[in-house]
Amino acid sequence: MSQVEIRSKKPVKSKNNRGGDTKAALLLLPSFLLVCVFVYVFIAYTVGVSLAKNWMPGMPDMSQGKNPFGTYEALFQNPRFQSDLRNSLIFTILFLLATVIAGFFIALAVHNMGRSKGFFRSVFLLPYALSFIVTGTVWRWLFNPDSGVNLFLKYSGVADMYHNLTGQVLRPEWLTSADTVGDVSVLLAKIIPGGDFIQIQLGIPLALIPVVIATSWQLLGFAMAMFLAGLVSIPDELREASMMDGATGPRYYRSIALPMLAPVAITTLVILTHVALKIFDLIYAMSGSGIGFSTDMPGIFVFESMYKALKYNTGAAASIVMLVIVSIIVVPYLIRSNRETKGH
Amino acid sequence: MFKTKSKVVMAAVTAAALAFTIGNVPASAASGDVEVFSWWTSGSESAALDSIISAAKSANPGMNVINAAVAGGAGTNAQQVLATRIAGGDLPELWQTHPGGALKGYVDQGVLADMTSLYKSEGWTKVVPKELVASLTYSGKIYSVLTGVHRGNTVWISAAAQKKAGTNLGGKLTWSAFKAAALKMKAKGIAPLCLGDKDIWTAAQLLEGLIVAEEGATGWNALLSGKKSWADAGVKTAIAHFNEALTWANADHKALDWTGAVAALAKGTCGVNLMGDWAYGELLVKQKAIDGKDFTYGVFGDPNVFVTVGDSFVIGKTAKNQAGAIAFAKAIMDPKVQIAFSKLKGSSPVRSDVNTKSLGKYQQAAAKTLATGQRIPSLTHGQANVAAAVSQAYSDAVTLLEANKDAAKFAKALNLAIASN
Amino acid sequence: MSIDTTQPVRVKASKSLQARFGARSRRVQFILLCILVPIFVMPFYVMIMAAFKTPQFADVTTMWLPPSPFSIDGISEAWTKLAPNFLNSFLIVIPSVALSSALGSFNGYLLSKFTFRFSNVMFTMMLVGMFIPYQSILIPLVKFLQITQLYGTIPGLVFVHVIYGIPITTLIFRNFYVGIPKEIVEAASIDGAGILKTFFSVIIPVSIPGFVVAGIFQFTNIWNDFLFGIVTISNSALQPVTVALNNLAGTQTVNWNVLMAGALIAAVPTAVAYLGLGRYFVEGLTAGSVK
Repeated sequence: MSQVEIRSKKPVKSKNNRGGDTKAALLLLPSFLLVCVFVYVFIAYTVGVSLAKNWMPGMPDMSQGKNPFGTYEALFQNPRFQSDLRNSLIFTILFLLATVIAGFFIALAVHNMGRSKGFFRSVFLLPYALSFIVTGTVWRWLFNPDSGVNLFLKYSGVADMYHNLTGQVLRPEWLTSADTVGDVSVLLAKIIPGGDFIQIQLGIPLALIPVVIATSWQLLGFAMAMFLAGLVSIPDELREASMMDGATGPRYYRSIALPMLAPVAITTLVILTHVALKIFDLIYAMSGSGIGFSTDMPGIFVFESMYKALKYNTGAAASIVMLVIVSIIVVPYLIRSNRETKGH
Repeated sequence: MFKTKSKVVMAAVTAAALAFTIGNVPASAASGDVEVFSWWTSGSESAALDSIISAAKSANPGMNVINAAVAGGAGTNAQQVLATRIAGGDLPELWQTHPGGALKGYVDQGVLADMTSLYKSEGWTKVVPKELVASLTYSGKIYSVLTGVHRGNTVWISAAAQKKAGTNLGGKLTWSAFKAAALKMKAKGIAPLCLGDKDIWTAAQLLEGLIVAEEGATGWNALLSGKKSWADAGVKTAIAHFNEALTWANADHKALDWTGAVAALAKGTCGVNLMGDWAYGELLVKQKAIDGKDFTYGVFGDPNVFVTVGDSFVIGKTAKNQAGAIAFAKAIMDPKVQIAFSKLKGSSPVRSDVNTKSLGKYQQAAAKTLATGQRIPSLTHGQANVAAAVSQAYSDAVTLLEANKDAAKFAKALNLAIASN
Repeated sequence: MSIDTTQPVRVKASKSLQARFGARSRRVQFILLCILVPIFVMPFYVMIMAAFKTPQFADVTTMWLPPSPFSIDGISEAWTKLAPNFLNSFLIVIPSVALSSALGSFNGYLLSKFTFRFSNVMFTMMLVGMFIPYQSILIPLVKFLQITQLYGTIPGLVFVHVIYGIPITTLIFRNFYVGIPKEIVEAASIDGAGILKTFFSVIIPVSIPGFVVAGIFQFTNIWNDFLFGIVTISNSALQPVTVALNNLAGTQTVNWNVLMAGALIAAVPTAVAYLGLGRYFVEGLTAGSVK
């Protein structure tokens, strides 16, 4: 029985394929053009609005003032927007770590189950079915420091244990916490010239932790579903062959299943990053902007700038800044991963 | 010869009739679709809106009112939809807004119908308090009608909490009296201040009430117009009081919304709550509390100062059914509708010539103060005659103030916002 | 090497399972999963409790306590307010999911099995653009819909959802198809099948897990969408259920029992969709396709 090659090789370009390749490009074009119009043309319009002096829906005046980039300058000096950038970064990283890792291991475990598979799959996936607005509210209740999950700490004796050990009261503040852990802003201010425009603490706002927990709870089922799909579609020949070769259990997963799940992992990462960067409803309902903007997000800022403060140029500028920052990080990663995962 | 003369007479009569059309449409003349766009979608809000709609329909049998509403974000969701409709030129007949900055935004975009002649012909300028009319007026033209006015600086006081702590707050609240009572409440394990500021506007409203208490009506107007700096001593004192009050707030205030704070007040686990008088309806209907028995009320500073939080409707200039829109506006200002609406919404009628005897005890007092007291606009709720961006800047400044307690930064931010908008 | 694309042979799952992990590790995993279940179910417990309470008691301070008095007012009011919009949501979601998944799978196939010059650039561009917050592109979007007479219509909203769904469904399928050996595709083209025929006869039969996750993602995304729903359609009779759910909340006063009941009711179709789709997480679908 021949060993099944799983390392990627360069695709063989046969004579037939060249004609097929051009045809494929043409068949892709309609979708591509539609997306271009509905995304990039609209983005261009948004850039225009961000540079305009006094654009309003009823008076779409794109004319620019003396300093069209003034909106962007003011944006970066705004402590609220600075907080948003910090929060978005921290939230995305923590959320991805929690959801992808937990989703992966839960998928592995569920995949191994027999008749209880369906039950576990449903339980973990069910949160995903709820509307973000409502889950935000429910988790706000659950994290209420006086009447929520802290009660479990009290009644299970964990709080007493903690008190006996450290002499302090165990009552996590969750969303009501104004603390930030680890503040590197003073350090950065010394390194970056003019760095004292940073007006916020550059650490991890503790109030973000319950937000990460709530969002992970909701999206973990989806990550699990992605990995399950990857697991069930590993060709059986691979499984049979690896069993024959004696690779069972953890070795199977590490050396065979994991590489095959790489594309699925990438898809999951991209989709969850997309969710994390645009998060709005859940946080708006759960904690609003938080104490001292500890849970404010760019999505909330854009929403309030445009539709509450009626400063459309500020909201548009914030959107463009987010897009540019994300592109700088995501584009090289995507290009590299697309190249690597192609041509199996 | 007769024919020509009668033709002329006919023409003259028609011309005269047309001249009187705007503002003088007979009540039964309006028909067709009238789209009313608001953010009142449930509970007492929608019941109150329905009272206007049914009155409009009974006065105009051929009218079909389309109730378009989007809830959330204190009207921000509705504004989001409205912006797209304005940009697309698809204006509803009427939509809800706040007098002040938001209204001005629409005026600047030229999308509102001028209601000045309607006010004059209906005599509304005589019965609506002049500051309120002024908040609806730009360049001498009036653009909106008010459904009612809430009071934004009422301090609700829990009877149960007072009984337990042995305090006697009510009426005019001086800071020293409040502090003394607060300390007594704290000693009994009651949080002196009920606060639910997951949405920052509740804290912003509290600070506003404290600033108004220190600066008075004239001082407040001067602050809003930029004549007075926000670094003024009165503001500094108010901020100090605010910071102190926050230490007396219930521990979970950041995780509660305003209704949670009102619920706590009704239960007696906390002492006082500065909240607009939409809390009145919440107390009565949801918490089943009794006015006078379970709660009383007071005001920080001069009880004669009425911070206005009004809800108003405007008419889209290019909306299809102008006659229908005008008829609806008339229904809003109808004295009977004003009372029916106020009963359901908890606000004060905006007309000073209506009989408030059928309203609750608190409401009668509020309506009286509205008519006779000093009226100033709320900045928290975007009622002031400043750009909407200034109200937003105020909320953002309060968010930061709550965390860093820095009065100087607060003053700087607000002065900048008023100067640059 | 011959290809049998007619009937994928399902390998007995139990054999491979036992070979992969011993029964003991499986027991450990089972216990760990069981520990996680109550944590996951906890918020649902709170919601269900609240749904059956009266407005006064459906509140953060009493969230753990069972309803007393017990009241179905929340459920009935929520149902009355949400029911008219359910049909709209179905009319919006089902075509949107079907179209965006179909287009996504076709695009994914094109991007994964063919090498044309700009494929990487096109794919990356399709993915990156969607990272912009949609609040800022609402106005040009509505303008476009008004020009094309799609504004205020359910087909218009379907159109919007399909367009904004294409990047992610394409991503899902494209990364899913890279796991399918290229030999299958090449063998089909050697047999004379063109792009479309290969797609339908070779790719689609093995795409089931892809359709499952694309279906789960899109159904959830579109069913729970609020932003495009309120902005594209202003006639409340045509709006999806999420808008009605949001309006249950009211702007100033919230009856939590009604809102929680409404949220549970609104989630039922999506939950049912998961159950239906989840059945297809079966192994061995790609077995026997290459012999």
